[in-house]
Amino acid sequence: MVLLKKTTDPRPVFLNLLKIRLPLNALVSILHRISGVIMILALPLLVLALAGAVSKPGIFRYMAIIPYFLWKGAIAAILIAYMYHILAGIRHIYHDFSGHHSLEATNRSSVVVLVAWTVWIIVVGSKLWLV
Amino acid sequence: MASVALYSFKKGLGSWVLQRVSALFLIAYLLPLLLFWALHTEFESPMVWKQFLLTTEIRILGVLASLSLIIHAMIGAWVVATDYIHIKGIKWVTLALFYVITVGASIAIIFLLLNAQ
Repeated sequence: MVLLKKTTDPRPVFLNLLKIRLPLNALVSILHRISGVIMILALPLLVLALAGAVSKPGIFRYMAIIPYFLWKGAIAAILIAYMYHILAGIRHIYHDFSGHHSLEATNRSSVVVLVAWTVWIIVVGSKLWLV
Repeated sequence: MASVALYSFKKGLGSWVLQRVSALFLIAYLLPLLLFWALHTEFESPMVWKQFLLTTEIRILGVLASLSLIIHAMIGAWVVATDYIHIKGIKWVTLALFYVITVGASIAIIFLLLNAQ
């Protein structure tokens, strides 16, 4: 805001979030951040799950506070975030070290990330609900 | 502000390297877990998981990943919070919350992994 006040020639501000069309690489970038934040907020849940997995069976009483289908949904959501974060992270490292910074290259890697994510979700989802 | 500066990772290259190295440690722990889960149908059986999670190698990877998680999530939270929240009080309160969750959860995970038998 301080910056805006100092500008002598104010730039147009357009902040209708529903009408802004994000470029592909901006979408991939913001999803990387959102998935990271989701995983931090979900950490207490993972601690509880780990406690249930490695401790004496008694702790399952505490896990039973949350119904089973909610656990499954939460684990699925965390996995979806994690799978995305890891793919976008690999893309980050790829662009750091490959030297490919053109718009075409970043768009191509964005598509690869989104397609790989979709496939991975389908695989993991079918394991969770079909097997 | 000295204590704040300690966590703000002003040296950009340092946090850039730390973020990537810690990411590799996190992958090194979480991919075996995903693979183990993919290869087992006994998802409902807690004993199988317990045995696997407490294998010496996986336990060590888990502790290393938890330490990496502290670094990785704190840098990430700092980058995101300082990008989007421009009101100082709200920014530091939000960051403090994220730091507490991250450090608390990581220490809890390390404690669980080292003490479980």
